[in-house]
Amino acid sequence: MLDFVTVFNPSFSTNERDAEKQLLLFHSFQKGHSLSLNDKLAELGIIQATWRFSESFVDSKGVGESVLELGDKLLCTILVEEDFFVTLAIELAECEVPATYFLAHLRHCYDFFVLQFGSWCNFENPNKLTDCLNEVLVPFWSEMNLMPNHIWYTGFLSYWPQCYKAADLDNEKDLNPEALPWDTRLKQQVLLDDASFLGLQDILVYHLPKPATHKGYKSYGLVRNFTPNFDSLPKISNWIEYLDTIYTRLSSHVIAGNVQYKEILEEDAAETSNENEEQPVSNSLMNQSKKIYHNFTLPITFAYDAVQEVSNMTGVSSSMSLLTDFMPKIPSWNPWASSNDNKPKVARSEFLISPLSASFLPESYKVKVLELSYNGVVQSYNCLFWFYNEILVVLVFKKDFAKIWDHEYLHDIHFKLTNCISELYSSHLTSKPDKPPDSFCYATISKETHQIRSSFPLYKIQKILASASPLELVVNGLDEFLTSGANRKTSVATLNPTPGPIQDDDIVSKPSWGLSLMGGIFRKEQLEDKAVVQFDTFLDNISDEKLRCLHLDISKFVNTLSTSRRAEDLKEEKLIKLNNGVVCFIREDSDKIVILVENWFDKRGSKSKRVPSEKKSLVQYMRTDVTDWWNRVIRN
Amino acid sequence: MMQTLREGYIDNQHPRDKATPSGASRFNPFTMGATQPTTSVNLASSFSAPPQPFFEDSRPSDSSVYLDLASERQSMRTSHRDLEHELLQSMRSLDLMPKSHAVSNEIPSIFESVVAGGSMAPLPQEKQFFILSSAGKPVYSMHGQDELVMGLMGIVHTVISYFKVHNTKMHSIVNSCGNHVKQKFVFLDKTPIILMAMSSREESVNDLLQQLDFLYSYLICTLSRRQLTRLFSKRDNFDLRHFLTNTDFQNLNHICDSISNGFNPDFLLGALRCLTLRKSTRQTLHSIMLAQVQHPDVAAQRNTILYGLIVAPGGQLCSVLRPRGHTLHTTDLHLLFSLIFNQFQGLQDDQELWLPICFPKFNSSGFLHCYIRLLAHENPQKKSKKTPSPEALEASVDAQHEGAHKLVSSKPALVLISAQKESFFALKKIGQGIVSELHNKNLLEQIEAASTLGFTMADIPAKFVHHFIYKSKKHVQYIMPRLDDLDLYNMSASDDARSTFSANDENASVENDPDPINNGTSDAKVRQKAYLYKLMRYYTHIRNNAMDESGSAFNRSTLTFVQWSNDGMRLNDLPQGEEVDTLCLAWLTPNFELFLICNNGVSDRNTILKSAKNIVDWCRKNEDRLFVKNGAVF
Repeated sequence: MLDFVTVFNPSFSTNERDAEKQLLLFHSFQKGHSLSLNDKLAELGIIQATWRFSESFVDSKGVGESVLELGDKLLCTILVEEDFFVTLAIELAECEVPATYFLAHLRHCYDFFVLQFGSWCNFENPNKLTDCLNEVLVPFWSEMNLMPNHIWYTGFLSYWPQCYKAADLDNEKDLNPEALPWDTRLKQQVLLDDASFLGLQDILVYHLPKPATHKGYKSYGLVRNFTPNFDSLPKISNWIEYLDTIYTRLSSHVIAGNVQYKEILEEDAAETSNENEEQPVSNSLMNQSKKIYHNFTLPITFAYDAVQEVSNMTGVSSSMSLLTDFMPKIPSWNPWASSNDNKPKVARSEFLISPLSASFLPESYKVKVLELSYNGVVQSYNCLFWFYNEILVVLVFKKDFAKIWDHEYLHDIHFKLTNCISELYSSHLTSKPDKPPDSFCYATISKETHQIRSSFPLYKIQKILASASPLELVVNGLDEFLTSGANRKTSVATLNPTPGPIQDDDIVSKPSWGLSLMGGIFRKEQLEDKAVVQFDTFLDNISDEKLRCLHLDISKFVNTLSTSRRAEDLKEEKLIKLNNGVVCFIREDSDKIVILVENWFDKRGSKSKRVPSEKKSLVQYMRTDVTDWWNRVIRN
Repeated sequence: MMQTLREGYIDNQHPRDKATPSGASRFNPFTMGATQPTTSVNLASSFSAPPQPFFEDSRPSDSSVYLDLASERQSMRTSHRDLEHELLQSMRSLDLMPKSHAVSNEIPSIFESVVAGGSMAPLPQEKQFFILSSAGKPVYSMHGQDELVMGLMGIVHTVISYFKVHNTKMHSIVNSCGNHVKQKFVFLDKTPIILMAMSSREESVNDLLQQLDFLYSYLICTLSRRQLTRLFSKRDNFDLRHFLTNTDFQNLNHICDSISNGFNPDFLLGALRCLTLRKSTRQTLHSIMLAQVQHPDVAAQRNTILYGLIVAPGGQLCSVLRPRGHTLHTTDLHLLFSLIFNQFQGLQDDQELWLPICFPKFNSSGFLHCYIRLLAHENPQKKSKKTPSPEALEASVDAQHEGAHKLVSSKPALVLISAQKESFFALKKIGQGIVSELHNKNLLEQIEAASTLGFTMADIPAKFVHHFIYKSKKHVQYIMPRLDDLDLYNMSASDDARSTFSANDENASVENDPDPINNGTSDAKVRQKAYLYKLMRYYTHIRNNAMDESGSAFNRSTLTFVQWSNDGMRLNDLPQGEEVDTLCLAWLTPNFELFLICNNGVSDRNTILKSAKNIVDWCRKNEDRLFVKNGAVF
């Protein structure tokens, strides 16, 4: 699907002879034919020519994105940091992806780079920059190439790549009026605590639910952060969402940046098909083990050792094929697979990235250094990641704060976090079982805070990829080997303060989850009891394909906002009704954009007469529950 | 300063009453009586019209248009006009006017405007068309100095050739800033000709592509595809500019200008505007044409005539004569009409044209031959004379007498199309026959009356609607109410109709006229032009809200309401203009397309939906009057 991705900066080349200096990265996804340097430079020249050409015309000021549509190709270019061009060439398939989706991912990819390595203009040596680009951009787009469906993931929300998803939690206010709200407690006990004071810059709390018993995107995203003027909040939030969705779950490896999808080599596939009949199982495992080498960017010895250790544990020395015997013994992966299980669910909470991880692991497992900007000042911060069931907490420490290396301190933090977050769970995240799904979906995009609040379900990565992609298996498989059973020593996150019995239980009946699983459930198809699943909105149970089309439709509607030439002091409202049942209300004014969708076939509650509100708006022609929501959320 | 201007044109109001033909209502196909706008504006509301003329609006280019044109006019109608005017003036000078009022019958300007000279770009225009040869030689550019344009065309040429080498084509470039699309470039490669359109307006890629196709069709229309290919087959770098005539460039300018700044639903909708006529009238037209064609003399020479058309000013189709199973493409007709009403309006009544034209969609490599004759209806007192030749003579004398008067208003035209080069005399004969029949039955008078009057919003039971366009997909024709504000300020009523294909260079000359009496007219014309342009932008916006970039509707049937209104944040120190609160509707179904603009201040969706339904019902009920359904088929 993808053709190539390139990064260049024309200002690096000063004369005719050093044109190649402007080229920072050129990665072709086409197998088998490589472009000569001249060809590459020609591509850059054309991109630059069209850009400069546009500047001869009116309204070229501030242009940051350009989409060049060719007969069979799309060239999406973004301009960053004034003179760096990033261009992605896409070969058009039958099903047409809106160019905005690619632009959004380009923007995100750049943001994620900046998050980890800082601005491009800060690199003094272009070669160093090229190395880093290779490290970030190439895997990013290679994975996108392998999982083309991910492009669709955010749907029409791609129109605002600079915005991030914030969680909309149900407010159960008077559950326990005396007790302090969880966030106040968190602030007092952790952020303003003497031990961490001035060292802990910020705490970011994310809710990253997986569609198990509760489907819906409403409560997904950032729950709370504490320090104002955090400029990088959209970047880091989008980064976490990206990691969580593309790798289907967040693990230590994922955050440390050691996981990557890679295509199965074609010879392997051929071999498999040839020998399939004879040794199907062992062969596939052989492939898997190959994958371990191919795909794990950890030092190879680590991966190898890990597998070896597992083998030793099972009493098999070096025969890889016998690993298969081990596989079936692993009980269900799904910790809450049997939802009828009467045992109280045990909350799992641990550090994903912290200095508590095993000493032999690379630095990236101990602390993640991110370039974050507060109040316009960009600095490096040490970030630790901690989870509690489906809550992810990011602790942002100042670079010079040495206490994070103190295990005692971390244990202490862990304890406090567990307290506060469990409070959050009990107050906000206990879903009421009999709540009917909303009959409409909403999305509000705030232009000032860059927050997106939305209940639109997103297009999920297809299940096929979760089960059939050899790579997916490898990543999962490795986690499996590393974490299962007695192999606790090498487990990455070894912290487990909950004493004794549970641990034993773990060993006996379940794999231990310390290493990888954040949200637990990852194989949705195991979920047979559909009736238990709760939906946030009426759209949560429509088929994936329909959802994709709906997003496509809404993208078109939203696109009308971007082409509208209305004067700045006007607000634009529209109500679009299609004969397939979709009613969409869109409103843009100076500070926010609101999008509402309902189904007009569904007549419930739509016909009741109501008193028109004093300020006329097209939203009053939607159903009553929409107007109620409107009055509650938007007008206040 | 503005004040004196206003008074100037107000003084020019007097003769407007006689502009309406006295017996006009007789010819109105809709015998509903009054033809005044349906808006609820009355004397009271015209008093409360906001005091626009004394400040510059925040959207400068529109400030002059912002005036409440229609309510002005209505106030003029009253007998105590002067008194009222004084009162109005004094109220304005004291700024006692209420800030907001219920309903006005002008639509507010809602669009951002590019400040002239505000852009540093070498080509600061919002729209641009380039035509170049595949070898990179410039053929035509809408704006810009040659040296500059040549360089830019060089880039276009290079980029397009680069992609051609790589076996692909460049379709479009869309540049945006954040969430706002800033520029669109669309390319049409019709080797050996390459066309490019640039727009920083709201048009979709598909709209621009249609416009380019029209420009290309024009070139083919004058040259034919075969000739074009032949010219370039000898030498790639042939300079087409030497081959095109001055008229060609003028026509290209006309087309570009009317696409960019005119009121042209034709291009937007890809449909023809149809003249509203009584069913019986149209039937008579058809039978007259048919009778002439089926006359034994003519019928003997088969294939003499292919098509016959009667067109009212502004390209409003009256009737069609066509062979069974054949129709002409809308683009071809647009081209033809644009030629007639741009180029040949100077034709005397007794002059006839015999002209080879290539209809690109009919057959792009051959020419058809057109017999064109303008149809001026004679003055009533001369009707008694029956013999055709002295009549024509008189008519031409008349034309000279009435001089400028006649020249301004355009006339309907008769077009007969043949495939044979030498059939002029045969067609002339048919034409003569048709013309004399038209005269005998007084049909020309009816056509002229219909083209000046049309129908108004008052003929349709649709409340609160300012203006609408209804396109019947089956007929590929559209209709709209007469633009009522047009005969305001002493304007010739036919300007409405003419606006479709007229270029506006006459404005420039009028503006420089030192004669103070003319100032009012030119001011009004500028307003009129701006009003039409604003209307056009409205329609483009509305349409964009029901169609995607590729020009297909969002769904099989789509109903869209769009509302623009003032945002909360406003600067309180400045005098406020009219509150903007405009509701528009686009309704697309497999059978029709309806675009509708409501009066400012109306925001009740249900009422508007009811009005829209009434319009659709009305249009269906009157289909025979509104559209040319089958035409005269032989």
